[in-house]
Amino acid sequence: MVLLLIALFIMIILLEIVPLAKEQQWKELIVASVLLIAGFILSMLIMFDIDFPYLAPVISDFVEKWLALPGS
Amino acid sequence: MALEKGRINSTSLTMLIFGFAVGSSIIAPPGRGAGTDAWFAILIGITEGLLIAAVFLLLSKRFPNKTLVEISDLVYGPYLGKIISILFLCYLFHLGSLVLSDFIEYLSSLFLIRTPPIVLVAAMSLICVSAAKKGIEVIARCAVILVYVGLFFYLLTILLLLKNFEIKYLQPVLTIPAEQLLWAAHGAATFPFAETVAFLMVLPFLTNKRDAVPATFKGIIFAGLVLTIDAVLNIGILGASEKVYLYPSYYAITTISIAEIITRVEIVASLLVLAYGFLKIAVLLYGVSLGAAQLCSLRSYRPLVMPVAVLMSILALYNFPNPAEYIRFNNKIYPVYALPFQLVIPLLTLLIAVIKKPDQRDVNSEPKGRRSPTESRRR
Repeated sequence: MVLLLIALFIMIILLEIVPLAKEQQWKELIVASVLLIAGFILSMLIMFDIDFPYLAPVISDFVEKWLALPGS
Repeated sequence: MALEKGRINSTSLTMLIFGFAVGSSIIAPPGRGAGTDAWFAILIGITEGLLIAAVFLLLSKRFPNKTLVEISDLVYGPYLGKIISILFLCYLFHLGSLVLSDFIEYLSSLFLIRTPPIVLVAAMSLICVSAAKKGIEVIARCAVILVYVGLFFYLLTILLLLKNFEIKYLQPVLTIPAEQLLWAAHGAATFPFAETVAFLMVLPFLTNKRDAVPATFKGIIFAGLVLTIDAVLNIGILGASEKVYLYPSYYAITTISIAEIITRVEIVASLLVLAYGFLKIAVLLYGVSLGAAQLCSLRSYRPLVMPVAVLMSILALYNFPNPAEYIRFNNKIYPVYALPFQLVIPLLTLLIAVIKKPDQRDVNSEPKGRRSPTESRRR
């Protein structure tokens, strides 16, 4: 699964990032690369079973705590 | 150079808004907090949704050629404007991941039980990436086709379901406390009707700007009526047990059996639901990518579509740890969480724009973007 994911990212780089370099769109290349690197790191962490907090409970706790919803 | 060259007409916008609003709401129907009065909660929700839509439509009318990112820049200035834009784009991004989560959960719990969620999320995202990269015109044309096909099958399903429908399950009417009904109605307004605030990123590309208000209102009302009929059918078929189901529409459709020949219609219905989900995710993906490109003053939003989709997919896998959390978030938290993005940001921006009166030349100018090297040379 990890290898499959790496292959997928390589494909994305070949199809998305390389054409940007060829067309010398450096600003687009930097923004897209940063987002893609973030995605790659996160997906690798998930693959290696690093526990992330789920987002919905974090938002729920925040909203309930700070807005003092009825019944919380 | 404009970041988007495509243009959509009012019919396409209505269909797109219809598909967007029905999207994931048909699998997780709104207004369920009101029990057997869910249909009434949805009707009140449509009214609230229209009021919220009126706010962002007024804002769009004031800045006809601008997306919210550009409007924020004009109204709040470059720094605060960027912060407001980032907040709004984060909401669209999170909404996209929530819709993806809804569909992945739906598919993996009912149909593709042994398929890893990451495969489902990747498949769904890739289709949306393809549409978002082609631009808003292509998404809108897809909407026209999918909505017509979807409506045909929806009407067919209603006809097939009428045999199992029991009016007594809907009675007595309006027995729940007013407070509970209004909360459910507010929930229905924020999910899905007011989510159409995402169209602040799409409305500048409407051919005739005067059609924005009627087209948006028509789309919301049309979607509201479909969701109301859906709620009535769910309660009339499943009765009081409707509230124990996570996906009541699905279970209502499973009851269709005509002479034991026409059965398993839920597969066809689910495919159409999936198609509407595709429209919603594609619009959100498009909105986030376009907004991010405008925020960074890029020449094109297309290089950002795939990276944004990758991040959205990862977040979709990390939204809900279990169905209980999903119900808690949808029923209790989302109506509060979404309101600042759906109402407060557009309303505040509109009020400040009215007071501040930005330069008319800036207001009416075409959407900004860096010029391509070829265009710069030509000039």
